Order: sequence, then structure tokens, then C-alpha cells
Amino acid sequence: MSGQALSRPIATSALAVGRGVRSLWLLALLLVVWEVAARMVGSLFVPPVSQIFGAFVDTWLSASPSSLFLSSQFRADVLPSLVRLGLGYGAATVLGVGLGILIGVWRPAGAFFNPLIRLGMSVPVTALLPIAIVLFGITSGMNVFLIALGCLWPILINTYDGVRGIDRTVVTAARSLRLTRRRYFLRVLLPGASPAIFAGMRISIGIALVLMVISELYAATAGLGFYIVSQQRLFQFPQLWSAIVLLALLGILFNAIFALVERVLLRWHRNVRPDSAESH
Amino acid sequence: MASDVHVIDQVEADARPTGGPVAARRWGPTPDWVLGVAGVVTMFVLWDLVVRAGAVSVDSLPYPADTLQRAGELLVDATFLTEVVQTLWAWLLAMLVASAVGIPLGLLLGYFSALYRPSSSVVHAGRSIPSSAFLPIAILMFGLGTQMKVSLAIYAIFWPILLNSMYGVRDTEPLMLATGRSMGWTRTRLLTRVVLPSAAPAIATGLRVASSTALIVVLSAELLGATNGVGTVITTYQQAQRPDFVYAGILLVGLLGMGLYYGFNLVERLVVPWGQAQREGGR
Repeated sequence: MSGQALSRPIATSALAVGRGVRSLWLLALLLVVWEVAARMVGSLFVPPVSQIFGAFVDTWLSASPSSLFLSSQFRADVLPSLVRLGLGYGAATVLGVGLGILIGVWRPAGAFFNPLIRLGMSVPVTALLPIAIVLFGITSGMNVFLIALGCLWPILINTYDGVRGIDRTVVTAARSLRLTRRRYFLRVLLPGASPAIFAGMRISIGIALVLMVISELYAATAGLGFYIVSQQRLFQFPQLWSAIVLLALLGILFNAIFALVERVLLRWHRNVRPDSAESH
Repeated sequence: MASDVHVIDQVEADARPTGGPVAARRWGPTPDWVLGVAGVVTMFVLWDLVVRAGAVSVDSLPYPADTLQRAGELLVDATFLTEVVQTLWAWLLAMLVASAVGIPLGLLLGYFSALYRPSSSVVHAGRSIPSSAFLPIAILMFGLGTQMKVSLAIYAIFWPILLNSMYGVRDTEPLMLATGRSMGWTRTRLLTRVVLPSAAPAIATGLRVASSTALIVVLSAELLGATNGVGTVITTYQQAQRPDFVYAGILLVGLLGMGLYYGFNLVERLVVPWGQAQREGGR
């Protein structure tokens, strides 16, 4: 009896370990290959993985619990980046969802803005870097502006598609029930469009990371992109790669948060896929 | 899409008290393209007014008329066109290499379920790194030429192409596979008759996403250091304090991106017509 009770948690944890091994062995193998190849070739630009992880611990982590085990370098470069990311992404979400619902609900507005939106989303946002510098100077505002502009289009288009894609029978049913505008908005429109809105937001978070780095590479006085450029100038490649690893971890973290939120909020929706295909 | 619009309009019309629909019918709804043209015109007028009123200095925002005129000049400028070709060449190389490697690999990894899970964790780790972070390293390793732009772009678009090919194979209807097998089809026949056609729309989606990403990455590399391409023209004009040319260049780059987008949609519709439903739903 007691043996059974004991063996069950062991069995489940063994299962979990097995699952982890089964899905991560290739990644681990590739890292080992990288390590061996880098040691054999001895390239200056691509250091072995062990050096990169050593530099990662030295650069971004610290032993003191008072700073949440994060180094002063982390606070100096990662926090400004995250603030820019949050502000730009937040502005894009508010604007994108708001405008997307407006043009989705009101057909003439959709037709009115359609060519402008197509043009806007076709302009590679990085082409606006020179203009953003002139308008904002080398300030955080420049980075925030670019991030917001880049994230705006996918959110806007997806919201529009989401609103337009709501099942017609549902719309008709809502009308025949004589729902008030407010109730229609909160009970039919928003839930109906939310899977598409979330898809747009998820694509945008990848774009936001790219633009954060690019705009900081181009001009900034702090931030992860700035850190990468300065380490390149100092020829400190393990440190440079440690920043790249940190960016990868941020990307994975954001994706995991999105997957979690989608699973909780969109449990009812049948087509939710744990990882969306259309993303950077 | 168009049919949706009419049905919703119909619903609205039915819900209105009598009189409303008749009035609407007398004038007829304004066609979409008229509204679209009105939108573009309104933007140019607003732009002109903003500059005229002095809300923004002419140094940071030129007059729209000037910008359009410069855009026209750039279009017949041989050096500018050469740089456009350079950019497109880098874009094309990246697309070719990434799809030549990504599509077969994705088909393979999606087909064998033992490989699917471990490779998708590699893909998710790899695509979490913004390609732009590699720019400083790529410049040191490959210099400032086309090779650097292409390698960065390949990194950026390899993942969406690979992932979509994997998903495409993975989402093949199991019943169709079983049917094929029960009819005694060989592996090759199954692959070419069942797996490939059902994966094609997903692969096309991956290529479409990759095509705009590749253009963005190539342009970024040009703005941040490369020695050829449209991006370098824009930075040159910026350093020469000619905002009118900068805006004209950006406008043309936007039109280029738009052209690629619509071109891709057209090719996609011709090559995988059965992917239409998926495309409409899977944005």
C-alpha cells in the first residue's frame, strides 16, 4: 500500500524527466557540437558555449538576494530595454485594438483606412530609423516610437480580421435578442475577436524584441542593443553572446507567458494552438 | 469577405425602422475604392497642412508635394535603381537558401514524429533570438557586403519557413494517410499525393511571412552598416540633410514591400488555390 503511494510520485516525476529528455536531447546535442566545434576551430567571434554561459553568469547575475540575484549590469542595460519594450508594446496594443475594432465595426472607416494601412505595414519600420532620430533625438522616445509603430500593424490587422470574422449567425442572434450596444460589445464582439487579437499580440512581441535591439544598436546610451555594440567594440565576444542568450531567454519567457494567458483566457476556443506559426 | 459585408449590411438594414433602407438604396453605398482614395488624399492634405502650419519643421517633415517629386526623380535615377536591385538580390538569395534548406528539413522533421518534439524545442530556442542581435557579429565575420545581409536574413527567415513546413506535414489528415496506405500506396506516392499537397498552404504561409521579414532584415543591415542597397541611399541622404529624399526613399521602399506582399499573395493563390480557406482563417 505505502509502496504504491510512494511509487506514484516517483513514477510521475520519472515520466516528466523522460518527457524533458525526449524533447530537449537535440538542443543539448547541438550545444555540445557547438562547444566541440568552437574549441577545435578556435574562432574569436564564436566562443564555446561554456565560455558564453560563464560570461552570462558573471555579467547578468549576482550573489546578493537584495537585488533579486541580478547584477548592476542587468539593472543598467536590461531594465531600460524592458521599459522601452513595455511602453512601445503597450501603446501599440491600445491603439491597435482600438483602431482595429473601429474599422472592423464601421465599414466605411475600414475602406477609408485600408490603403493607408497596407502602405504603413509594408514600410519596413527600420527604414524609419533616420526619421525617428531627427524627430526624437537619441532618447528613449525614439526607441519607444519605433517599437510601437512596428507592433501596431499586426495587432491592428488581426483585430480587424477578428472583428470581421465573427460568425454571422452569432451577430444575427445578438441582434434578434436586442442586446444593448454595451452588452453586444462586451459579450459578443470582444470575446469573438479575442483569439485573433491575441494572435496579433503574440506576433508583435517578437517584432518588439527585434526593433528594441535594432533601435538600440542604431542609437542609444543604454540597453541590451547598446551593450552588444559596446562589447563588439571591446572585442569581448563571450559577453556579447551572453547578451544574445539573455535575449533568447526573454523571447522564450514572453512566449510562455502568452501561451499561459491564451490557455486560461481562450480555453473555450477550439482553434487555439499552443504555438502560433506566424511569428518571427 | 465581400459577401460578409453585404450580409451584415442586410442585417443592419432589416433591423432599422422602415424608411432607412429606402434612403440608403436611393444613394447607394459609396464604393470602397472611392473611400480608399479619399483616405490617401486626406492623408496628403493633412500632411501638407501640418507642415504649412509649422507644427513640424520642414527639416524633419518636408512638404508632400516635394516628397512625391523627389520620389519621381529617384525612380528614374540609375544609381538608386542599382541599389534597389542590390537589395532585391540579397532578399532573393536569402529566400532561396532558406527555403532550399528549411522546406525539406521541415518536411523531414514533421514527418518523423520521434524528431518532431526535440526539433521544435530547438526551433523555439533559435527563433527567440532577434536576428538583429547578430548584426555586430555578422559584420565582423562577413564584412559589410551582400554576404552579411544575406546571412542575417537567412537566420531570421529560416525559422518561420522550417516551422511552417513542420506544422504543414504534422497537420496532414490522418484519415487520408490511412486511406492511402490501405490502398497500398508507396511512401513516395503518399508523400507526393497526400503529404505535400496538404502541407503546401502552410509552407506558402511561411514563405509569405519570410518574404516581408527578409526585406526588413536586409534593409536594417543596410541602414546599420552595409555598403550597398537602398538602405545606404537613405542614410546617405539623411547625412546630407535632405529629408525630402529620405521620405521619398522610405515611400518607395514601402511601395516595394507592398509589391512583394501582393506579388506573393498572387503567386500563392495561383500555386496553392486550395489554401484559400486556410489563409482567410489563419491570419
